[in-house]
Amino acid sequence: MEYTTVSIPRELAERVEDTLEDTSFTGVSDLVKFLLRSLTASYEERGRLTEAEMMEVAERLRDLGYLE
Amino acid sequence: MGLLDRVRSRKRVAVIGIDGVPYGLVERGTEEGWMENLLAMRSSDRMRAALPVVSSVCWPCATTGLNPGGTGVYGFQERTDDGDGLHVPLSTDVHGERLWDAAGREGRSSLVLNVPVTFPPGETRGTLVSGFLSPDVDSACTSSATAERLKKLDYRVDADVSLHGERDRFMKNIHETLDARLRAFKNLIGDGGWHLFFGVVMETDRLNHFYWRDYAEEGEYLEDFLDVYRKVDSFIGEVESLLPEDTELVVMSDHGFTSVEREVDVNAWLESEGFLENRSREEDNSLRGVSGSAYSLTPGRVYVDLKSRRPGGSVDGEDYLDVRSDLAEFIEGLEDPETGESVIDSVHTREELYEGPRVESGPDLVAHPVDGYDLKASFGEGPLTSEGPRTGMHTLDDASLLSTAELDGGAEVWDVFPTVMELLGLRPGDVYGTSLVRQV
Repeated sequence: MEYTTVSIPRELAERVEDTLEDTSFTGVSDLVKFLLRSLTASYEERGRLTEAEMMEVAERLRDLGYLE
Repeated sequence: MGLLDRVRSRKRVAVIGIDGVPYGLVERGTEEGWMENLLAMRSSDRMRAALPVVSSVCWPCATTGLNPGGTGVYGFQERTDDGDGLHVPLSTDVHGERLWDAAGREGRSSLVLNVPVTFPPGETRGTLVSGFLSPDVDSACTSSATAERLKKLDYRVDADVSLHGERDRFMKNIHETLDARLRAFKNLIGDGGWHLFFGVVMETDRLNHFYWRDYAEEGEYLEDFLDVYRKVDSFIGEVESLLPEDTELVVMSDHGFTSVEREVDVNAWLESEGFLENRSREEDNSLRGVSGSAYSLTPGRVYVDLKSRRPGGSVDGEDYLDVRSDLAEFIEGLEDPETGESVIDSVHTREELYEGPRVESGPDLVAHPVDGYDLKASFGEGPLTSEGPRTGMHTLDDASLLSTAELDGGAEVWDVFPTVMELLGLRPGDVYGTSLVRQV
């Protein structure tokens, strides 16, 4: 995986470091990655169903009686 | 308290979902010895599901703490917000923050497996494999490494319901799917590194739909049926012994089950009374061509066909309440044409049931049937009532909630979110449900 560097003021990094104790974040970078992924998740089109897949899902739902 | 300034707790919670398992079955299983690991639970009680009673409604409520008026998911098929379209809600259609995302925000990792309405799988802190509606294992995983691992274990997204006509073969398929699922769950749970485990077994629902009569009336497949539950019980026992010491276990279902006597086509009834004039639609996934003052979507959802909602609508806004009240009266009075028995237990308006920012997209009325009558809604020429291939149907009042923690009884499905959050040592936030953790 390739990386790019983001800069934040050292003072901010230190304040954040203090709050990470006893969480499962391994450091400031880990927290920042998590927050940015969460923010961008809603903007990404991830895994949609194709027409064919949609028809298969509909068949399954019909067999289960959830759809007519 | 600040964002990350919480009680510095290492609390963990494992939630095992067993889709569609009624509390009555759990009681019988513990009494008769085929679900004896559940006897070890400190709390054990029935839980009330959401209306309409389907997995795609209940699991989002359980995992967000919201009422369907908050999640915006009212069934396996929804009206699109404008136009004549119908679509199947996916994970991106579930409003409200999911349990694993709320926990993730607080720095807790999750292992989330096979929870309904999590396809497409989102990025979460930890591992998430989406469930039913995923086309295949690869698309259910955000990591190809996880997908490969699951495929090596012969993991499948779901049982092959198209086999239901071949009873032997289908039962075998249910068992194979269950075996692979439990194997994969144990494997991934064993990795550790999570604070929250949330895994759902769907095979119980598939089994109950098609083999319920074998259980209720001691039919040919009774032992195969009980074997599914024996395996689930074994799994629960094994997971309990695998869990790190400070982990609370929660076992829950999203709704109950009972025998089906007749399937009732609400659209056929609406047509017979003149509420629905043309029942044939021009194509699947659309209401185009349908006309009248109302139509229904499975199960028991009734929509007033307002002009303002779609091009084909015919009811003026000012007539909404009158039409709705006429509909409610008609539906409440539905009787089985053969026996004269009442088909409907109750009819509820939208305002009675739903609360939240997504109430407007909900059904105007929801009919809850008497046990034995399963409500359907076809857009073809089906009869008023019929017998389908399914022998089991969902029920509202007897979902199950058990735990190693001390929980109050009288739960409703949306109480699961705040309860698990509290067990994790986190604040539940502003949700519709309330925590069941017993106050000492």
